[in-house]
Amino acid sequence: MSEFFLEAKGIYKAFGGIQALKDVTLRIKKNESLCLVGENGCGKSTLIKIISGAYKADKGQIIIEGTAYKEMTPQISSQAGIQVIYQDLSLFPNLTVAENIAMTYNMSKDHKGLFNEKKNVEIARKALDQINVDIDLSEIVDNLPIAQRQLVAIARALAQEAKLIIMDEPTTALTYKEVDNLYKVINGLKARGIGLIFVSHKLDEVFRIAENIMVIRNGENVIEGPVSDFNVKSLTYHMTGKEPEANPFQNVIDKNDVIFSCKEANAKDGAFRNISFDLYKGEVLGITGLLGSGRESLAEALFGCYPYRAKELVLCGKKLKIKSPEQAVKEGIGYIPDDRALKGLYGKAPILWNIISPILHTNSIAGFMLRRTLRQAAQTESDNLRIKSAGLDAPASSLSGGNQQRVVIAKWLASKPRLLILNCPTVGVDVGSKQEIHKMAREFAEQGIGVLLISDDLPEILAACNRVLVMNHGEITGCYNTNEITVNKLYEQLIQA
Amino acid sequence: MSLAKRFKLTDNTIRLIVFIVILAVFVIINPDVVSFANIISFCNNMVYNGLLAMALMMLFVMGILDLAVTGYGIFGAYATIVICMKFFMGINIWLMMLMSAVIGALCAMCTGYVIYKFKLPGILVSVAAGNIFTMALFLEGSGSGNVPATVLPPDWMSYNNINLYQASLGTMTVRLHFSVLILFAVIFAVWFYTKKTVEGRSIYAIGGNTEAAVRMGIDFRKTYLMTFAFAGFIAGLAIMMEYMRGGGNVNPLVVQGNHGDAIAAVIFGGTQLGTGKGGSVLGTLIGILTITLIKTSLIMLGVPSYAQTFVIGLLLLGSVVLAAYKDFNKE
Repeated sequence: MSEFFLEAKGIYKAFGGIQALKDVTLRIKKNESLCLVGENGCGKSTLIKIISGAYKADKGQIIIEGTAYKEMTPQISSQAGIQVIYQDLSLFPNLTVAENIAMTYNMSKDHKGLFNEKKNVEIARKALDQINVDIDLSEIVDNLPIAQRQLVAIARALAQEAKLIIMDEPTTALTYKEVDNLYKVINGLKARGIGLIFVSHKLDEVFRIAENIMVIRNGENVIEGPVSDFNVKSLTYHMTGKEPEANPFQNVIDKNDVIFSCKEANAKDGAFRNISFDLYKGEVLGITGLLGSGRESLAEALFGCYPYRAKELVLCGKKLKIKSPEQAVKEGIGYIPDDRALKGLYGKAPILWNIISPILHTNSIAGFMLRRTLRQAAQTESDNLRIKSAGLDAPASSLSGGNQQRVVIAKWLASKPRLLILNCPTVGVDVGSKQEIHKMAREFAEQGIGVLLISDDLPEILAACNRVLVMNHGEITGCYNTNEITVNKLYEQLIQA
Repeated sequence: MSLAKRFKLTDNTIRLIVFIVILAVFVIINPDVVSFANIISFCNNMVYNGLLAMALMMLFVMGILDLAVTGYGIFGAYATIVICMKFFMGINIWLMMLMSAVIGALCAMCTGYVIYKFKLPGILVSVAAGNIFTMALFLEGSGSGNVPATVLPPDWMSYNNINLYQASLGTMTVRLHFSVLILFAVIFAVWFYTKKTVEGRSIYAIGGNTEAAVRMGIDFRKTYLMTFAFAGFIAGLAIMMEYMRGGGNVNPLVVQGNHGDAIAAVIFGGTQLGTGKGGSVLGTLIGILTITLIKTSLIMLGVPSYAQTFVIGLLLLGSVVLAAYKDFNKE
């Protein structure tokens, strides 16, 4: 028998005309913890789905404990001991913790007769004991905080006798402290001889968890090796295929002309505290921080989606109070959300409708739309942003990630905003489009639009911003000019506890 | 919310308190509301909506807003009557009820299968199915388009005289009809199904997170067919009992729309649509009690029927807003 628990050899997979994976090979031993890293859209998730049987590979072979499988299905991979914990956790919010953990037992063929609550509790208790966690088994999952739900999902994987657990970006929704806790649990799993594939694009996580790192870029193996072979810089290089830009572009700033100023903003739930900053004309201001640092909440708050209080908000000399997105739009604030598919794009609607959605009311007479004007406006924005499409009437979902993001941006530009908040604008966008979006951000700033770029992607911050504010535990802990700081130094600022 | 936490109030306790408060108000206005005769008639009145509510609750939990339960029942009952009048005039009421229930179950299974097979929204399919099943009656026989006039096999006459309890109070005779027993048997059966069987638990899983249910390998076909069959069975029973109570003098078109109160009872009972939350037998039972109380007592208090509907509307709104408010606070 081979020394590997799982081998996925020479995997090819294409979607439509796009080759998502080209001859990718992944090997993992029993009891190994492997971090699968790569930029968004590099093929990590596709590879995971092929291993779990959710997708079928076009070519390639999957070998689990010496047995080669021609066709992988979710059932086979689950029976072989591979458990995937998806980002959404796949829990049943309306069932109890015990029922969730023991669900597979209840559904299995050897379960006969009536639903057995006692047995459920027994299974759940055993699984939770394995990770040294105590959660009320009769609690409804919906009432648990997200971090505990994650633990329930892990316990469920254990209850299914997992030999290899694959976690797809498990820390996305967790606070810093909760992430710490999760690490402990994960280390405990390693000690129990359970293998782990950890999918992430967050470098700090990678270095804390992994024994080995495997990098994928554009659907191909790039490099793999023990974690000691890498450092943040080299890993960034392997992920992006580029040296981090050393000399970021600096827009000309007029320090006398403040476009937007925020004084003493406090989130109602304390996610951020005492946030004050000025945004000058011509600059792109970056805000960065780890997950749970409050950057996301701040971004949403400024657009009126997150409850907060501020002593004073001034946009172009006008005092504002923003309590809802409607108000924000009216005041000329545009927001490009992190989750484009969910919050920013009408996928099935034509590109045209996506772009004109915020300007409908200003381009209508007595409620009737001025179709020609609207189409012209959409065409102009589409041309300006070089959106590659089959025409304005093609559905937005038919576009590539980068072009979808441009549609979202075009939508806001059409409404002629005075302040544009970009929240992680390049998530899921290919490298080329990424640079274009950075360039656009700087161009908007030059045109006099205030641009606030919120991101956890440090090279992005350095590439696109003039200044960067670092947030830590809900407060601003530093402000740097991007031409005076490097990725590594900025990173050190971020992880200061 | 904090108050509720301090006293460990579950949602069902709150509902029970609402019920008791309404009851207390009615009693203060007219003490006769809790007179012996009224309590008996309250129980009798509970049966029809109670049965339908139990059937609906299971489907709602599974995420299916089914507006055809009465349709399954009407078809079951009417088909039974037609078949029996032609072939089994001497049939007794128990077999008639069973037959109606089985046919109702089959109708529901067909609907459920279409919803499962084509992954369609339950509301769309069931509205169509309800119309089809109800209107199929008019195609039978003469096809004159008249309301099917119904003569029942003669044993129906014994139906109204099967009482669990009978007593004379002055000039009036109070009768506790045996159908109350059927209601409680059904409530028990639904409780057993939803709490103690794997398929019954699966309906919560499907309603709670369909995507995850697929990944877990839950047998959708089996769960759908069983649950729909059970719901259709109950509906067939309920409507056959209506037919016998009225001696066949029942207008299918009226019956088809007669599920509003049952739906209200389910919603007031805490069942949420599309999240699989709530949806307990106990909650639904409290819902049935509350709706029946309002329906029967307001008549007694001389409140016109539109006002009853108004009150029920308020209750529903309150119940839905309460649930939403709790989720809102959680965020």
